[in-house]
Amino acid sequence: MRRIDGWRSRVAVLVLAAVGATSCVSPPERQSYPLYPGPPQPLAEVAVLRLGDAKVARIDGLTAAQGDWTEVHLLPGRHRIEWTDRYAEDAAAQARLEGRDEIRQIVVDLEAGHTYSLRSRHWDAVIDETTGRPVPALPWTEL
Amino acid sequence: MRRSRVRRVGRIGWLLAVGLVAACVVVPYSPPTESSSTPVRLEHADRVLLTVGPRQFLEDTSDALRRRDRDIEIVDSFTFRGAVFPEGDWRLSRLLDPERHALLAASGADYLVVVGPVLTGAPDERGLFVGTAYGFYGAGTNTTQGSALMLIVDLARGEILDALRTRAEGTDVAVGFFYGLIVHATTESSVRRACLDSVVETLRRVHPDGRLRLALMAAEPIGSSEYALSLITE
Repeated sequence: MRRIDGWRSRVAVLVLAAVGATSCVSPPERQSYPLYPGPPQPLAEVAVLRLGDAKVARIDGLTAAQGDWTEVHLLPGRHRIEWTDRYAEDAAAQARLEGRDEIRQIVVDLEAGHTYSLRSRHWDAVIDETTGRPVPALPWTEL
Repeated sequence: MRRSRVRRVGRIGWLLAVGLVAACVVVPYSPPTESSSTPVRLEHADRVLLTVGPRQFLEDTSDALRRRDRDIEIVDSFTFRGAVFPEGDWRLSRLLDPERHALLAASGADYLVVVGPVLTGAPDERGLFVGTAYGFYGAGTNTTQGSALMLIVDLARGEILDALRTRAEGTDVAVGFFYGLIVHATTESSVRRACLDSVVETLRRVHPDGRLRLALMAAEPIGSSEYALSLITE
């Protein structure tokens, strides 16, 4: 095998780096699902819930799937969220990405102007990305 | 060194030859479908939520309907939802509330089509058919039943025009002895196509000519794991 040496290898690396830097990577299209009545509200007036780790979530009885939406817009206040989570028995199992599916059902109070996201395999299932704090979960109630 | 390269080339050649010779032919076929009206029981309409959640599914349905009839116009789902449910509470019973007739008539759509997914039953498998690197062997069948349900609401009258159910049963047949032949029943897509055909036929029966403005929504059950539209049909 012939070895690429000296300036040739450097040129090759530079060309690859240039191609990598200029290649077009478009971010996934943001699809917002307004789960409130009436006309669209400004972002400061609604709570944004990113589906995050949840492939499919049911929010106030309505389903939102990752393939359709990236985030759900809700009026501030109390909301019921259900989704299937991967539950690990212990930290070692979690590290090995082992576990079983478990339906999580929580009730949370969401604030206007804040962005939240759902997390898998975390004790704190909903994180407030605006403050960086977990959102306290309230007891589940049926509709 | 040279011998190992010859052996490697030989092995790749042998695998390519097996891949080319041991072919499997798949022949798709559409199983017969049956579409009919099904009675509607509205006593459980308050357990059905109308939704625009399955965005991609509704977009695909919208394209499929417009391909069938160029005079069909699909109104924006969010605009329609805002017009007929100004205060939220997206239950079917609220939509059909006689007090709402004026809102429905002014919604910008002539009909609402509540689109249901194709549901498939557990397959009934018989025989044994296996595909290996050295060909396909055995014989087997796999029978699947599919059904879909769609609801059409006449928005000018504020009442259900029809509920259409389409059913089909398709059987995959596979036989193989080195070569494989699979006859594949496209049950799910056949049901979907037939159900959309019957929606357009039904609409054109009552509205033979001209532009047809449709709103599309899906349905979800409240407090139930049942399929939403089966809650209100027999």
